[in-house]
Amino acid sequence: MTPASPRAVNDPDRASAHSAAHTRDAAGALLALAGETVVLLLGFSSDVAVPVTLALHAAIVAALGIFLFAGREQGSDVSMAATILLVVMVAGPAGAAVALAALPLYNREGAAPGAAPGAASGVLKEWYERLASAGRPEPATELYDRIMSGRVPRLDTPAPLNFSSVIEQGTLDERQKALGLIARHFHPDYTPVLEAALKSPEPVVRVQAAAVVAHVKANLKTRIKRLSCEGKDASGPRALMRLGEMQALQGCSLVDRPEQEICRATALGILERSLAAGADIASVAAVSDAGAGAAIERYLLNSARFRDLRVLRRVRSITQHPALRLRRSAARHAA
Amino acid sequence: MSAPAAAALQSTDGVDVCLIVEGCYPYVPGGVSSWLDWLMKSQPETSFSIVSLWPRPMGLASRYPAPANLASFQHLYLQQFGAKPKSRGRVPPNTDQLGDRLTRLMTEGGAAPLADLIDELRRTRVHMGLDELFNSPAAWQLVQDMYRREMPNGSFLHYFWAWRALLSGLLAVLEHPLPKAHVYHTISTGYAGLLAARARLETGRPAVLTEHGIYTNERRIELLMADWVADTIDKGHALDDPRFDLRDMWVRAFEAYARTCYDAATSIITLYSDNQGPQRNLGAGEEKLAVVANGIDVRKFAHIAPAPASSRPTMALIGRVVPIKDVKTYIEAARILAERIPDLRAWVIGPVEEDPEYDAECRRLVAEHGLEKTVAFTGAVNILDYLGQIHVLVLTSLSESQPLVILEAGAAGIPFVATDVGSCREIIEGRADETPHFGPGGEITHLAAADEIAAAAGRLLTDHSWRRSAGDALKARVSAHYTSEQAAGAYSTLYERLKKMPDLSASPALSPQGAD
Repeated sequence: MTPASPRAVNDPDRASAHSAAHTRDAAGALLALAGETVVLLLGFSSDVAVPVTLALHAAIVAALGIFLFAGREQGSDVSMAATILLVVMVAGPAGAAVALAALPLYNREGAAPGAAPGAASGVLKEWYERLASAGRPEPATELYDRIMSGRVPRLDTPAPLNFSSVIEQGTLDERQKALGLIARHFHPDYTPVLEAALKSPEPVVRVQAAAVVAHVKANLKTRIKRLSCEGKDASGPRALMRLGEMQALQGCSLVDRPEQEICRATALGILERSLAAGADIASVAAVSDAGAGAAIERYLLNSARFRDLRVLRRVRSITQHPALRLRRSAARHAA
Repeated sequence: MSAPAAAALQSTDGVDVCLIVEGCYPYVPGGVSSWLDWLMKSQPETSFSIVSLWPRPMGLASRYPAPANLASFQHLYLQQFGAKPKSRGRVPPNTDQLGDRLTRLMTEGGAAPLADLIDELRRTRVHMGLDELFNSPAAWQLVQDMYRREMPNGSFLHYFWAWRALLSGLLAVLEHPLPKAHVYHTISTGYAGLLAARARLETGRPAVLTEHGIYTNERRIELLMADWVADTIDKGHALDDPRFDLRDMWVRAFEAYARTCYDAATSIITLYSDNQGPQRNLGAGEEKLAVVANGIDVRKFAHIAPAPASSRPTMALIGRVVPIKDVKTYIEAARILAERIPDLRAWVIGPVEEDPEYDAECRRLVAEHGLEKTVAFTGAVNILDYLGQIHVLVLTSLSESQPLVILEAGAAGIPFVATDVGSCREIIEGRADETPHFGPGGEITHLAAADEIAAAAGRLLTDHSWRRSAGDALKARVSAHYTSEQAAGAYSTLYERLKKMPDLSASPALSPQGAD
């Protein structure tokens, strides 16, 4: 988002509705001022009894209420109308005068975050909403914004470097950036890179690798706790998607043995629940990734469910190479 | 925050030394705070003042009574800068120029850019105070200009808040009234280093920097790992994407501040020579660099006799039971070694309360390996009662600066096995230019390498002559290079030399002619 050119939000219907309501408030206050002034003057006259004056005042208030509220859009802002009615009811002509004087101020105050008309208030509204994370633009708009601002991966960027080579031969800056990325997006496959960094001849790299190891270890504990909580009674394709991660964590040297056991037990529980006798192996196979697929295969092998294993492999083969399978299938049909 | 009651020693000439510290003394015990307390007490003839930098008042109680030679104590709060915005804010005429100079200081750093900025701010003050500037339309104009120049692809919203945080600290440092002193001594780069650089430029008095750890590197590591810094540009896993994001902005600013401090400092001291590499990388002049190691009172340990060879083979780790000490690797090493030396005793000597969860994990690991008769946790004890029974000391830390425990073990003639962190190698193996060379005082291993640690400790436990010679070498080295008298003498000599220095030529930009 650039500060000078935030996307303007322009809603002409809403703007005209707001303008009409504002005009009606002003007219109501003006009429109330005139009516209440007359009533006040009558009140000073000895010819008119006090109950009559009060009755006239009540009539004006009632008429004002009808004028201000009748025909308003449902859900529209009635705070100013209610305020005018209240101050006229309590203070008569003085209240009406105060309400008239306050109307321009109210309009200006209200323009900032809320329901003000026009492009300027729309810009502010969007700004406030972004600050408060109150709303998100449509995904397509967001993607468009990101592309136009240059925040998406570049098409001309070369493929990422191999982190093991970076730790061995990269510049100090590259090594430090790689370690930072590993800390923020750790995957157990990065463990050998971290182990190499801990042995780096460069003290700065060793220090950073040690800090990353401490950071990752603490994060893994939390991650495993979360995985085991989520996987406790879980079953089905969604739960099976976590198997790959649990599989990788079981063999990660940065995970303590008790936590590795937790991963193993949680993964086994998910497999047993999801692949109970009668489960639809084809649908399970279709959604599982490589890590989960390997875990499911191993489980089926250990359980001697070879028929299910064949189904699993066939479905995975088709989902992984659909074009090839379809071609072969067409050739078979032709034959 | 309750500041220590400082003695009223300050004369109209100011104190001898103004110490500038960030986030430690006198509220956070240990580490640098203990060192500052020691430094002031070790220089009774020198008067000190302290400027203590914090983000905001933290509500902490002082943990150190003020020494008699501490004349004044000030707080400088970095994140409380800025006056209430005025309804009709103005934009000073030199705002564009100010933006250029701010950008240069926050991206390149150096004494000259700082002098130029101070000079520009002097012009700005004619129109409005800096606290008013910070919350004014001029600041809005500045942040937009700098955003377009620095981070045009990134999120402006994130840039805005990061810019506010960085500039608040910078302006607070540039606006703080400088205490008068003959020497300004900062304990880190960062904002403390900037204040020292400013003092050097504005007063012409020398500025000294003593870095225990390399502040910039610590910040860089922290920022590269931090989850609180948003990645507003998706660079994937590319390491050389030139687009500038928030993380780059923070790191670059701290590097620029470090360059400024190194450039302005008269003398740059660190605890061990490995630290000088990063200092050189950020432009610290070779002629300014020096090593002054921390020292200990060796007399306290002189009476401790080596553990008899006939006693139960004992190794120990002295330190807090916390992840950074990697006690689990020590336990793994004990497991490996216990297979070779069945009657091995492996103590863990140190407080266990700081991280109860980690302590429980360590104990669970001991139980899992069936090492209950081998590994024992003593809790916080007086190590003098234990050193006489220990054959080898082990340090498995993932990070250290200059661990005093190696010096204490050395003073008691106990050899050491330590990971290759901080100055461990320098203390145990000696500096390359050590004369006479005392020989190795133990062995250095890789980090988190239980097998290497077990092997090294095993050699020292079983080879009595190797253990004796390593213990003797370490004792000789500590006595020769790591006594508190030597450290105090080095600072005393440095202060005396700098106090006598005539006022250094102040930056031309800051001279009376240079100012408007």
